Amino acid sequence: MSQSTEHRILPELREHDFRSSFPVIGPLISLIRRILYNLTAKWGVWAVIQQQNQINRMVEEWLRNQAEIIIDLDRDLTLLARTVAEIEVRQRYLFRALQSQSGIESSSKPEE
Amino acid sequence: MRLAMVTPLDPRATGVADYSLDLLPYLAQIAPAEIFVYSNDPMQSGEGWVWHPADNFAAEAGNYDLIIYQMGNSPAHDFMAPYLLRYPGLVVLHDLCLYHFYARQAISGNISIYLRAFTFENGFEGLTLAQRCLRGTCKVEYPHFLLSEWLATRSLGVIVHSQHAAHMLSSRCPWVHIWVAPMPMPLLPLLSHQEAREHLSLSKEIFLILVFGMLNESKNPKAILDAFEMLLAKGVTTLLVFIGPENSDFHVGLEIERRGLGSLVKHLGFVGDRTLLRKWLAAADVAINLRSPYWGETSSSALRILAEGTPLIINDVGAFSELPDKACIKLPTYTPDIAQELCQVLLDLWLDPHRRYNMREAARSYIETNHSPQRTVEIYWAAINTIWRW
Repeated sequence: MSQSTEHRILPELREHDFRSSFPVIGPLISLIRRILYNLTAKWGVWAVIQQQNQINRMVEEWLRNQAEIIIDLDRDLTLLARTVAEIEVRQRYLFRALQSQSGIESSSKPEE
Repeated sequence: MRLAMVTPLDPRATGVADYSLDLLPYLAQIAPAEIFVYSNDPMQSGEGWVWHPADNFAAEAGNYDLIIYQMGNSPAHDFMAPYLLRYPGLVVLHDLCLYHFYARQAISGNISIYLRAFTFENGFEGLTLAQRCLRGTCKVEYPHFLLSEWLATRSLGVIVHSQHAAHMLSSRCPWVHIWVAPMPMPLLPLLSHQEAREHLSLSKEIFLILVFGMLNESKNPKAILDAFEMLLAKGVTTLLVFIGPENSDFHVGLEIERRGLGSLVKHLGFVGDRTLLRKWLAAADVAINLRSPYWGETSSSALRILAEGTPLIINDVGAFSELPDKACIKLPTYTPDIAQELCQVLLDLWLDPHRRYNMREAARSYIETNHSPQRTVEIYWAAINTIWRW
């Protein structure tokens, strides 16, 4: 849980900032909304935000672990892909070598 | 045996095309195998090899005993992306840093290979780094992010052209099979400096400075123009010629016009006529091939200049540092005033024809000893045989 903000996948939840674009009385409207919010919902919302942030951090940690597993698996896959390619190339080479050898043998057999 | 080579073949787009066209006849001579060349550039004819359009490659890749990829960082290599990872082969790395190749893939929608290349080298942090680099909030500097480690690991082997590249790659991925093959540079009979100048109607007094190769910001063209103006101010009768196509980011013609140097600086663009190109290279008193930023490449244009026996000014960085001091003057990469230093070096060379003559001799001798195409294809063949038989 000690990741810097820069490395976070999910943003922190914040309380809503009440604003009104209404001319002249806009600041008054925002103030009334803020007061109403503070009186009725603030503490409940704050608790939910804390819970959600905690869940987000857990999800983030889980995603990070999954990503690290995928990165490790991708590394393994890369090495395996090369091993398979090495085997394929060698197999093709041996097949060609056998083919040319059997060609030589059959051509060197005396005609009956 | 059947070998496939996937490579760009248009010399206007990349020096790798020239490299492949130089290499293929020699490879065809030494390798007892049929060679099929896949490229999305127009059809080329060649002795010992057959051209196919790149679009056919996926259907035929399984029929080859080995695939050789001529891989670099420029857009000319973008068509190779779907094949490089699906059909592993022997990769010839012309640029050690492949960041721009992967970034273009990400921008064109193939984000997964960009992220995989980043995370292979940098682990989980690579994910954040990759996104920051793409947004431009993280500066990509050589050699911090090579992005060639993933491709090198997936490949059956890697050929590089310098000890610098080999050391850099092997220190980061010791499990990769690496061969160092010198860049092939056929040494053609020496063109006379005087005759070349006469043919180009250049008077003896003119001190001809040449900038040859793909023209972009990393060649420091503005610093070269600054140095050239300083040289003019010191009373040197000189001519500056740029030869090579421009990339989309930089237009030297506009810069020349802005500075009012139209009569003293020429930009010839891409010169397809090899004989004419050789005459310009041979006629030059000195050539400049600066590289900053440097992306781990070995410059074929620098070697082509040396092959014509032309003194060369370069940056003392990476593979360029391996070029001989007797034929090249090396400027430090990080210097407060590159133009001033360049001007001083040009002035010294202008005043010392004897030194220029010695540099010409050393340049030819270096290419003859170190860059014979036969030697290159011998190493190619050794690598191919090792891959087949290990």
